[in-house]
Amino acid sequence: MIQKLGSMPLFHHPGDAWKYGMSTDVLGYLVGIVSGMPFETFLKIRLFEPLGMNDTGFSVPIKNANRYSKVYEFGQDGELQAIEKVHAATGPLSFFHSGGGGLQSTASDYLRFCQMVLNGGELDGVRLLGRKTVELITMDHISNSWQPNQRTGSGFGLGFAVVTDVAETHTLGSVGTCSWGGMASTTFWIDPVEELIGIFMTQLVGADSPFHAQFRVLTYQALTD
Amino acid sequence: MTLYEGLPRAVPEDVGMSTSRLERIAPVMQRWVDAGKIPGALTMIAREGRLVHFEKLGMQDVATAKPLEFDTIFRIYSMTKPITSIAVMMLYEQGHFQLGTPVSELIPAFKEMQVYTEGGEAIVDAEREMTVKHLLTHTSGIIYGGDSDHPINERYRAANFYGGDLANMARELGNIPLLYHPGDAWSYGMSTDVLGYLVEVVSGMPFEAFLKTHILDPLGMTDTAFSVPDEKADRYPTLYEPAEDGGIQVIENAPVSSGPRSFFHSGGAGLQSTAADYLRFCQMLLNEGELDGVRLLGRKTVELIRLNHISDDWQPLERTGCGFGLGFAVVTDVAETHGPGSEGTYSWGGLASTTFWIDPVEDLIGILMTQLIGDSPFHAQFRVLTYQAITD
Repeated sequence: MIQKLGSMPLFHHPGDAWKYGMSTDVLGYLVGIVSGMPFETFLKIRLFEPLGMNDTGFSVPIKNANRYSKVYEFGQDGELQAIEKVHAATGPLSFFHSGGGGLQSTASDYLRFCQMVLNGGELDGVRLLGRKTVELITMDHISNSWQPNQRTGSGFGLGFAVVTDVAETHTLGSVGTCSWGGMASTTFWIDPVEELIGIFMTQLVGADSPFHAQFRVLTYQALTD
Repeated sequence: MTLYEGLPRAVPEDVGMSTSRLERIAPVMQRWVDAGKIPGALTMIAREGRLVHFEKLGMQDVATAKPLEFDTIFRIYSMTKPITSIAVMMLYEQGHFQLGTPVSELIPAFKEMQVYTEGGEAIVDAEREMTVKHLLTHTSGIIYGGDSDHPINERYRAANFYGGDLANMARELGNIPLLYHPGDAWSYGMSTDVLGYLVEVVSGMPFEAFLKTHILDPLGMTDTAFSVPDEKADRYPTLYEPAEDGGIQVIENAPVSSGPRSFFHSGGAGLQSTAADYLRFCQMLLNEGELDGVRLLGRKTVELIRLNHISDDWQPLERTGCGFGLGFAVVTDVAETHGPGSEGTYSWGGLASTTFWIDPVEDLIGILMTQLIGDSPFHAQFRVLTYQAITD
């Protein structure tokens, strides 16, 4: 993967624009090189096990096969239909070790990951990152004139979109909220001002997800303090 | 607390205000009455959720020397707009639509809108859909008809917006090209009237019934409605305008009215209300959505409402230092407002020279009621006299 990417010209000079892509796949490989252990192993022993994310990995073990959801898209008849060949999958229960799109997880595992970030790098006595590093991650690092994936009012931190202007997001929220989503219409956000995390899981690709915005509104309207 | 006061009283000193400094307000307002420039006025100030100043001056009807009373019911005109905007945001909180939802998805009369080119020589298709947020921020391209020779004004004059129901009004508006492509400018207009109809469409209730059931009754705004019932007729003032002799004269046919004491159900201008009722509405907002245990909006929604949502290059009705939130002007730069105040203060006023502001920094509300369709230099005075009384 790295050799193939390295042999292709870039779309723009580094630093000249914002473009969603395989950059995070490269970072997965970089973790392997720098740590001296396979990327998968690093994630397992340094992130997933310390955080108790026991159902997160690049493949789903056979014993958990009955907990593995089908992925859907809208067919030409407008009805939901299951997708047989899922993007980045290497088998029925396994994915390429893509740092950008390879993991399988549960809502509760991902919640623990988010809470670690919200806590400034630590959860249940296990510290993965220093507070200053999390502060740096959740700052906007890109030009105000770039919008990550049409997210108005947002910049981009070190791995997350970050809200910089609530009015321009055209919805409820707080400055500094970091978030991202997945191709199968999953999404999450971490709001450090409200000390709040929202996670939405489904398995639908190739379609809009207007329910994300609804879920966000319905979450925030429930705040009463 | 007496009913007409809206909130419990406080000794001004207990909430960081000076009694003697507040006493400067009435004489200044009285000069306007004595000069025959205004019929009468109510001034009202609340701080930290309690009433610290409520004064009445002058007449409800000058000819019969009938005094203005604390419970006089005023034509609040555009002070209807904040109430309509809150109704919209209550439905937004239920997930019915997003701020970016095209209006045409909810009101088909706004499908395939057309737009005047600059100067009005030609008409083109709208470059983008008008959204709910465009209506809330007056950036939809809908206007109030004006006097210039731009052809849009003739279309507004010819339309009979208030001749039927709200659906008819929306159809009439949907037929007129917009002044500009939605989002390209700020212009005051009938956008909030459209929102009143949107409330009706989305909620499935008549607009009037929605306001009554979900806002006015829960907040105890018992004197606020599109019409004044017979038993309250003696509390309804005469409406005035400046006369050529420098004094004031009676306006017989009030704009937007449909009878002697009834108004078209305009979400932009139709409500009649009292100082006390409007104070309760403002205090609900200042409390971030809740009053006396009744929650109308979540705190985050109120926060969103009072953010500036428009370009720094646009000024709502020449209000320098202000942007516009979701239904209110919002102070963005106190120095540029050329008066005392706080960033984030949200406010609006009505055609008959009524005004209010909500200052979340100082935990303060100011309301001024009168019934004069004309200039209102006394608003700025009242604001200065209010803020100079803060001592903490």
